[in-house]
Amino acid sequence: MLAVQDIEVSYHGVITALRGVSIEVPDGATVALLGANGAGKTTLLRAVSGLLRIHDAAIVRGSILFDGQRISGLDATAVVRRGIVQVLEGRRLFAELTVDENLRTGAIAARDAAATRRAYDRVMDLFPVLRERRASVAGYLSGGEQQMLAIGRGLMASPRLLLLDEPSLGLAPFMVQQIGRIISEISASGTAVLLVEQNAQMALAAASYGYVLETGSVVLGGPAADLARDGSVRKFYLGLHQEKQLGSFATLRTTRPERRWTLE
Amino acid sequence: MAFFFQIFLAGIAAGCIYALVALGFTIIFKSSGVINFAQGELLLLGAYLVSAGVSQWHLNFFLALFIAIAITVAIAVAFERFALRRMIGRPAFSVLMLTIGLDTLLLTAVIAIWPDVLYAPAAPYSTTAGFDVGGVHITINDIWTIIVTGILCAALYAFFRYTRYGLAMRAAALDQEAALAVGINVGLVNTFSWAIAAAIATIGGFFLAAHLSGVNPGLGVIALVAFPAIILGGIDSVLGAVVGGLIIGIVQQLTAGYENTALIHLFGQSFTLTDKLGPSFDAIAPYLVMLVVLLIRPYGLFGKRKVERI
Repeated sequence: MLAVQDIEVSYHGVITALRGVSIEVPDGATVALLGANGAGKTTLLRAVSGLLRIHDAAIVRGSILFDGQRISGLDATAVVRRGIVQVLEGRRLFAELTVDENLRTGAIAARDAAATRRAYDRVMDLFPVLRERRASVAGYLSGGEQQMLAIGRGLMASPRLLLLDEPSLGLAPFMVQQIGRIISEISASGTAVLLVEQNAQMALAAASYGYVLETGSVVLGGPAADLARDGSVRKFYLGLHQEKQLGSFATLRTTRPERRWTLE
Repeated sequence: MAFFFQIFLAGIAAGCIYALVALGFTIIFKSSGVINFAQGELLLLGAYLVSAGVSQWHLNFFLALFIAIAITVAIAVAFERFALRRMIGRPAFSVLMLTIGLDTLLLTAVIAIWPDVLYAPAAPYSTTAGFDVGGVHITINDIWTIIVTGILCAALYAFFRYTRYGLAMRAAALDQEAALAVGINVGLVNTFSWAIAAAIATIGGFFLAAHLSGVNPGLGVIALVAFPAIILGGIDSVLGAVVGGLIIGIVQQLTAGYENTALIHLFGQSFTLTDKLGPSFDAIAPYLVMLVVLLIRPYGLFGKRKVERI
């Protein structure tokens, strides 16, 4: 469905954020993208959704295909019309608009009234709490409700691929679990999800496949279950081991962890 | 009392014109963050086109108005598309200089095309006619100014509130990247805001010319009294533009009406404002009101308090 092929992205024409990254999202699958701050996860999402330009960045090499058609270089509106929507990190709701108005903005690009009504009903089924708060101003919702609204707004254009950037950020553990369940539901209803997460445990539980990104390159990729068992992933992203000194992820993958300095 | 009501009504009519200019500013600023210094000369060009359409080309008034709006809108849209669009990501100062450039260009063009100093305003009614109600003289022009401004404001409100283009513009004004991410064509939104601003400027230009009984190159400068109106109301507030415009218009007309005659008794002396401060204090009054309001509410009456990290 989505194939990112060997892309290189640079900001302001000088800073290379991604070098030779290739990933794939199969039809209807949920794929997790792990990595530390600054690894290039958000940049990768922006490259897919056409949001690089307003950050003064561009794809300088490689291409992105969606259903076999090249989408790299299209503007954000065109990408949304093709069926890919990105939900930005930090929710970024239109805080002064109501819940309903926020949802309507999500359908502005779609243009198909019947599809929009179906999408609206689907969002309300997925997030019953939004139905009760339809007329509330979005800025007054709780953090969890805001994240639901942000995802709901993304679903209003009936995307076939949803790009989620840190949906669990700043949420209570209970809400994180709920967001994880919602992602599984979305994916079960046929919408593929590319999920960027700091919370690797939630991400790997929701995803079927995962990639680890470090300083602009993919250093590891495989089925989510395998990644969850991988020693280095466990150590770095799941926090299941603690080392006194952590080197770079790439070097640690080739060297065996030696002595443990702390109790587990 | 009749005198007071008469000036007050004139104040509302003048305020409506300022409100129209201020609306144009605010709509562009909200959607794209650009302060458009060319708004005054867009108004000037609009006023000349309407006048020329009727008196030189002998067109029907409404046809002339339509053509004037079409031309100013085309210029504004072309400017946004081909000049401003290239400036995305550049410092706000460069963008501001571009709009000042457009301002100078329009003023020069108007003077070159219509070298005579004064042109008669064109209106489908007599701009000087009026009637008396209980000793208050009301001009037809003031009535039309108020009615049309009211209708325009209502139409704009409905547009922003109930249409998808209006919603897209509000969303883009709040968060450009989020608007892009949901697929809103932010470039189109910016173009559209310039088109609306230019259309409103033309209508404002027609009324300002009718108000002053003539079209002259100074109209654009007079329209800049809308600046205190915008800042008073809060630069990012559409409601603020209207309320600010009305306040400035009323304050200005009341000062103009009373500065020569109303006696002030202070420290055992009796004097008028003109005795102490000289004539035309009404030209400064709007700025004084603005200063006082800014002292109390630095972001304007309806503006949003902005927290910025330095």
